[in-house]
Amino acid sequence: MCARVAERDIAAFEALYDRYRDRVYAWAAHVLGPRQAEDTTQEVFALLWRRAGQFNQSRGQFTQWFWALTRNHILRELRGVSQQRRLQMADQIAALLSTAIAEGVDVEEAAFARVDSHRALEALGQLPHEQRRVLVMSYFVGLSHAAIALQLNLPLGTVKKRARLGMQKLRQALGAQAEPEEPTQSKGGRPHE
Amino acid sequence: MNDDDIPDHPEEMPEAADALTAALAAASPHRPPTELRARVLRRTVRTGRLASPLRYVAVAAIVAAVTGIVTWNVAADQQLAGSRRANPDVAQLETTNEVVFDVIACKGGRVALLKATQSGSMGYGKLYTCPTSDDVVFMSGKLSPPASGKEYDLWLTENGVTRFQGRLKVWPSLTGSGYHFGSITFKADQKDPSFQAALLTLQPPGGTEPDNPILRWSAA
Repeated sequence: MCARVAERDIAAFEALYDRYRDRVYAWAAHVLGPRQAEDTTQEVFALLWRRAGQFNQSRGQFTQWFWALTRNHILRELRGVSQQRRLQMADQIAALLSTAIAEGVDVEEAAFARVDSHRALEALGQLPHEQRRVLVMSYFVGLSHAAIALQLNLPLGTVKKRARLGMQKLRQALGAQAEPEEPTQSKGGRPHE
Repeated sequence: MNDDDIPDHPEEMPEAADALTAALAAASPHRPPTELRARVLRRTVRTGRLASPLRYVAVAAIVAAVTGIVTWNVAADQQLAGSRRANPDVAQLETTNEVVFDVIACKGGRVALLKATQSGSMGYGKLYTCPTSDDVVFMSGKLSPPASGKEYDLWLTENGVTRFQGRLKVWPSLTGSGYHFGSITFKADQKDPSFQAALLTLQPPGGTEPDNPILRWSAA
């Protein structure tokens, strides 16, 4: 689908927008604020439109490329925000995820979103809170492991261990979910675009 | 995997990105406004349609700019060559630049300041000599344009003898002030020449004696 976007296929672009808009917007809204989230979402999809030709399927999955593009853009917007403030944002996100995992959320949305969200929340729910917290801090607001260790007053080795275990468990959980359905695919069975 | 090998930024782990963003979107109360879709598509389609024409316009602008610069450069070279042919003074000025610089910047060099002989005149002159060179430089500025049939002549006195050194060629000041300026570079009889006096006169050409001094300096 990304190749079709590179060929200026508007319908393919619309399909990708519909699939990922909620995630991009939610991420931007939580770290940059709802007002800036609209601009950021526009800019991310404009980047996708302009750079779709750079995606090389032989080098990885589309989702890997797209989320790297999104993350780079959002973290660039976050430049100048203090580590303390980033820590607060990450903790708000971690708390939100914990609540959603504990209580469940309304996932009666589009089919794609329902399946993805359900699987993701289930997988994240299998992680201990502290491991999930480290992943959230690292991924959503770009805190390095050293910065996380400093902010949480933990040894760097502890932070790295939590990140490693968190990633392992997340990978296992997603793999276990995917295996019965798509046994031939690796890395969680995510579809290639 | 060793703990030290865990990347600080897990974008290399697509399953983490996919799961984390999907979970956040499910848990978050923030949803993009419906009209955002139309805005994104408008912006994208507009960018796509404009991309090619804009690229052509940009290339055309660059080509035009490069062509203009090359043309201007060639024209300037031709104009300068024409100036050299039409006015040997320009060519001479270019060739004497190095000598002028060497004498003016000479270590231990001397400068004699010629002052206006008439009150109200702004004219002045400087005579530069160098202990290690027989080159001499005379420069003068803020001179009135020479009257018709007259020229600025430099007269130098050395060993008690005053002699005509040369005609000062003058040009209008580049500042547009209306004044003229000029310079002479010449060889003295020896290194580190010692002059007792200098005069700049405004007189008819061919005079054998200094007449109508405009600027004057005397070692006495």
